[in-house]
Amino acid sequence: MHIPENYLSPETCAVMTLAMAPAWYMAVAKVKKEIPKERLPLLGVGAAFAFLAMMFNVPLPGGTTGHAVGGTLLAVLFGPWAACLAVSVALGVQAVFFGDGGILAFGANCFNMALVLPFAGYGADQALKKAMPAHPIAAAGIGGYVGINLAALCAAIEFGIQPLLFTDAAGQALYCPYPLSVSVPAMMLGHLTLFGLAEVVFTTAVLGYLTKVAPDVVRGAAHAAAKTGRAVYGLVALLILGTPLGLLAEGTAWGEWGADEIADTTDFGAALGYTPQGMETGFSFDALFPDYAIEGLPDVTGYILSAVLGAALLIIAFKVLASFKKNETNYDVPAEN
Amino acid sequence: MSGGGSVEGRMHLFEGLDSAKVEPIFPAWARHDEDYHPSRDRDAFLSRSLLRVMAILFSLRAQGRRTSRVPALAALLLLFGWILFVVLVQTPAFLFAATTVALVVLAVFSGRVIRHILGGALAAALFSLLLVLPAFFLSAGGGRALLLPWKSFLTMAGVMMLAESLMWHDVTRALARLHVPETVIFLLDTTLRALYMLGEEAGRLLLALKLRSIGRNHQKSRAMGGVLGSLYLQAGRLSQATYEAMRCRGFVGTYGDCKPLARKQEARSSRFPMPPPLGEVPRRGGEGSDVSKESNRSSKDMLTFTDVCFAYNATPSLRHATFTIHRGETVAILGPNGAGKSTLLSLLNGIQFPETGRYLFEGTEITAGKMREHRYSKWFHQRVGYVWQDPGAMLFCPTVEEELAFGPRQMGMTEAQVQERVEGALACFGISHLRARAPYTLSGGEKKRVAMASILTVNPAVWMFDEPTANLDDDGIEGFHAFLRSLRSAGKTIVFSTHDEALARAFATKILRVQKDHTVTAEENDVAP
Repeated sequence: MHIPENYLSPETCAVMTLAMAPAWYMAVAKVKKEIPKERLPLLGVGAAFAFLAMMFNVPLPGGTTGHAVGGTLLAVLFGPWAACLAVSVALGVQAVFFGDGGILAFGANCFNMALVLPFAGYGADQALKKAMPAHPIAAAGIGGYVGINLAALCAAIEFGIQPLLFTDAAGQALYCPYPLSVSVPAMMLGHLTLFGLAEVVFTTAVLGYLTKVAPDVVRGAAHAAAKTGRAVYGLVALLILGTPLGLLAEGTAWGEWGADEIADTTDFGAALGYTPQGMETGFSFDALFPDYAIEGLPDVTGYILSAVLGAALLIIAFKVLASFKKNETNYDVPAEN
Repeated sequence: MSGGGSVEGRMHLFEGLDSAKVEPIFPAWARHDEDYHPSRDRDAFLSRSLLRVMAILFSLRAQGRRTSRVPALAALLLLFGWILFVVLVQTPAFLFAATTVALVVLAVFSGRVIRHILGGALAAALFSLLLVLPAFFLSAGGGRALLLPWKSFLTMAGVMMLAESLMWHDVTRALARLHVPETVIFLLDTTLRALYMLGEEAGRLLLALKLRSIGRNHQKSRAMGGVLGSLYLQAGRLSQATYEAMRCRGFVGTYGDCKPLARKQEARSSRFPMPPPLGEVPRRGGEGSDVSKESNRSSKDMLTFTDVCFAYNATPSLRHATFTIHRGETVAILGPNGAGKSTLLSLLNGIQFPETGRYLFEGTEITAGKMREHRYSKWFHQRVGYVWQDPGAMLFCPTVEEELAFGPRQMGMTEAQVQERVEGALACFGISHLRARAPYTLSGGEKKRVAMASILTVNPAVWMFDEPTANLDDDGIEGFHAFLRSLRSAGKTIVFSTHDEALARAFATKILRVQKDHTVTAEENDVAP
């Protein structure tokens, strides 16, 4: 669901970024206030979960691929604002280091996956928890499904309005060439079926594992025992080792074609026949490891290393953030001396 | 020699045993309050870079207890292997892989430690980048030159990760097992320890300089030169003292078999003032109106603590302290070791700041932001004089005479006035014969007198003493009693921390007891005038 560079006009990108600005501000403020210093590194691990989830590409018959996001999982564990921050940072790492998602389109990607997804998922989860309190994990899973589909809908709308608003003199689209009638069914088909299922599976599996092995993490206790630390990091390691499965799904996700591919793709109808001008001449940014591959190393190794790098960067980032927070001392505990 | 009043009968404070019968030569100008307003010039006496140096020096001290969770020998061999690998690698791909490994190991440490390691590694990379920059621009294949800063980054990161996870004596023991010659290890060991202690000493001297910055100093370079010179001269003495301390605690010259020394809470038992939170830097900004107008000089309440709490690294050291010290009172702070007396004094002196609650000094709340205002901070340090328990740590001028003149010179007095003050203070403490001596060469008792005299010339309204009678002989104690009496009759507000209950009972009108659970209780005490 990552929107690449030059699929959205700069105006659209600006609008989406402006829309995200207050959300980011709120997210930072809420995290500063509500997440205790000891729990922030765990949020970093959560961001790593989201990052790794997005590396598992699931193939849809017909040639396109998609992936789970994990935003609802984070919202259930840490609250929706913290999830917004964590997913934003993960998306940032992906955009800057791996070229997954455009730089100008960062605001739009965050809007879809870091704002709409966690909040929708959290809202659904809370409502379902009231309806069926005996199955919190199922509630979270269904919440995830709702969240990812709403996010996909937003992305589809953002794609679809481009040819309506931004065309050149000859009537050819400057940016994304597929109108709403094409983009909405294309994106929703995948996400209502396989990719939504992937999100449900990811959310319920991880939540179930944590509830069984590390209930402190789920309950929100500030002090994580050593055992829970090992459980959580063990899961991260497992996910990292499994990322090469994402390489098995060949084919580019809908809406993520490169400028060279787009003229000839035949998803949903005849080939386009031209490359939109915005994609040819627009902003371009050379990431360090585009597409998670490292030059000089075989694909699988490169993929695993990229996963390791991304996870490590996220965990370090949140640990450093935590170290800037002041210690909160409880002055009213009776003296132990 | 009986009775006071006659000029011939007067002696200085520290001569003679029965000082109660002798009237001391307390200078006339000290009998009233100073009417001092710091100038408006933003004289950056303590520049930003200096304050940063202080912050770094004190942060070295503040490194907490570390337990070696990693076997030292394995870690050391791993580091050697790592450095070898990084040096020999030529292709970026391998360096990427190495960077990934480094980041993964880095992710294991705590956030604060990560910042240290990244800071050090980035500094090393920047340094080698500067070295390599000409090659990058001048040669055709310059891109390859950038491998060097990258390798420096990785090497330094490895070294710092080792330094952060091991205690030094584990490293020396591992080196011994690798059959590194004992002499080499000894040199490394003593050099590192000496550097550490010099750093501590430099930090203390710089803090003393900051506390006595009350106005415009026209000879900044001399003061800084004094600090550096004192440090240099003390280096030899410090090294010797370090070595002697090592011997006294069991060091016999070999590294292989030494048992780990018991790690006591060194930070708690040391007696000098705690460092200021100097990660922040003085802000440029307008200074506003006359500083003294901000204070309520006519009010009787001089220092008010309201529900003040303070902690070191999340461990409470002062809890819900509430009391008021009035003008002219003499207050004693009593309490067992580690209860928080030094913390209380550093809070009162604006060196540390309350985490919760308020500290009002003459109506103005003392916060980190307030103390960053140049003018207010200078005015505050003139108004409050602080005599440390270890006087040697606060003397940094080349001669005693200059030490006493340091304060008045900054206040913009004429040379004649400065001389008058210096002579008055020398006479008051009976140290005229020491005027040309270097402070660090004096004995402990003499240093104490010089320290008090150097505060006297500034004539603060509030005097604070940290364990004033510790390490003093009977004469010294008598002299101190006489000085306290003089200060009291001159209307000064006095605060001192002590273990001596009798001293407190004899002099203090109010006693603040710091309990073992870090709370403070205040009690009134009747004392003969």
